[in-house]
Amino acid sequence: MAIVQFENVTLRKKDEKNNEVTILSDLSFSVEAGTVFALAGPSGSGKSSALRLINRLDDCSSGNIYIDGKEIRAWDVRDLRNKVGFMFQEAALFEGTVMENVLYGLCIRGLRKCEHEPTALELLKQVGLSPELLHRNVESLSGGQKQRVNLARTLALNPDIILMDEPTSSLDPAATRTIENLIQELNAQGRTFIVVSHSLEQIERLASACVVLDAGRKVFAGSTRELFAAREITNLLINGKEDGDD
Amino acid sequence: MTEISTFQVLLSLVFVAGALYFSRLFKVKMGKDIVVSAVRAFVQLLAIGYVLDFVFGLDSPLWVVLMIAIMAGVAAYNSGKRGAKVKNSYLISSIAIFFTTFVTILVLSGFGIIPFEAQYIIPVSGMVIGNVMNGASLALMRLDDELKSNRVRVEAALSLGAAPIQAAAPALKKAVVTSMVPVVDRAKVVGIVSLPGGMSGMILAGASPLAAVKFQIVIMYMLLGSPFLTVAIVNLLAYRQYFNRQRQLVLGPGN
Ligand SMILES: Nc1ncnc2c1ncn2[C@@H]1O[C@H](COP(=O)(O)OP(=O)(O)O)[C@@H](O)[C@H]1O
Ligand SMILES: [Mg+2]
Repeated sequence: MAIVQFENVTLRKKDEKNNEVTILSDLSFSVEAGTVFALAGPSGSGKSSALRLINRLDDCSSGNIYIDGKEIRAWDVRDLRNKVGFMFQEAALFEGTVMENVLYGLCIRGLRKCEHEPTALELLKQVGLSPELLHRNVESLSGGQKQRVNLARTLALNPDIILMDEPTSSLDPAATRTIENLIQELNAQGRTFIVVSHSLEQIERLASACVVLDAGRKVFAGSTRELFAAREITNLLINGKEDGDD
Repeated sequence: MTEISTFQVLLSLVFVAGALYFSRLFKVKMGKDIVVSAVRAFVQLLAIGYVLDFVFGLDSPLWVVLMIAIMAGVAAYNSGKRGAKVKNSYLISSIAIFFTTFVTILVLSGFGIIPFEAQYIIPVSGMVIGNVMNGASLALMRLDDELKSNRVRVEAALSLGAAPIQAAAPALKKAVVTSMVPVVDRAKVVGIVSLPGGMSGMILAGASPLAAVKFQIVIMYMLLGSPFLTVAIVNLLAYRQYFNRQRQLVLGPGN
């Protein structure tokens, strides 16, 4: 069953000169529940913009987005954001300690005390972080640790769908591996992942299906196996343009 | 207080001449600015002198209110313009400045600290308004800056289920702090580094220094408290301009 479905989605925004620019054009695709789905494309192709729509950080200009079969605008935005977690590209962590960050979502909802250590420790365990980090200031963490705190913060609300915007783009290969393993583990527990990536290797390791964007248009949708058969698309992802010669 | 003759006022132009001389000497090309501000000060103060003389003479509360409204309006316009990046900035600064002025005067006259008479109400209102105007401008500018530069964090908070006020809380906190620092700093050095104008005026006018000091303490506390009220109102109205019902951060074109 499709858990996320885009139907002829167009997104227009105004640039600083107040001109309309089309960021996504007539985009349709669907994501099956329980899968890892990749959103790929060269830089500036509209991947982050598409991801933001799924969390309703923006509204599309035309078309429909269905989450669990229900049009996104029919959802109470609070329920939607409980169901759909968003892990931002930059480790958009809040100033403060690891605990303050991982408990944020629960704390603002009044579900847990903001200093409920057992819950925080449980979350750190889920992302493989040492309990000693609990009271550390997030500033002092490594990039990989920050991204794991970022993931733990998203996991705290136990979302069914997790959106990730280039989760490993600033990480070294070892830290990348850790995050990818976590995605696989959490996926095995039944969560759906939509991961923005421009690494073919990563898509191959993680995703079963993917959509490729170029300048806001869909240029490919299908299984990962089909993706690797489409040379012009893989060239686009490697070189950032379709013909592949520089 | 000894009355100054018009001739003596003209004599004080020697200070302006000095300023002009030094600006020449250091080739800083401020001559035009100096002349313009000297002329403006002269014209504006003379005009306000006549206006106040007129209003005090009328002894009518309506005129007093009108006078204060004009001062507050000008201040609100100025802040609104400085903070124009915030939607509805003019409305926000007006609400904050009018309300703060009203409350402050109410408290001061309610406690009987100043009599409800034009010659007290108007200058005290002037002090309040001049003082909170900066607070309102700073709060508007800082909040816009904080929300824009912390955009990812604000949106991360929203996506974690935060309500707008929760997502904006760190930005609000920083906006309050940065707009209040000058006010609090000034209160710290008062009497040591600076003798406030009101107190100097009273002493010059022949009041005993202790009477002047008592009055100045009240004024100082008022000047410390009133910008907090303005900044709080500005912040609480301004952050709302950045969010919609769908709990989205709306930063306008180009963002
Ligand atoms: N508010 C905006 N106004 C104008 N253009 C924008 C705005 N937001 C994003 N864009 C443009 O939309 C395109 C897609 O951006 P984005 O979704 O961030 O791409 P990606 O994540 O694939 O790199 C880019 O060309 C970007 O410059
Ligand atoms: Mg992006």
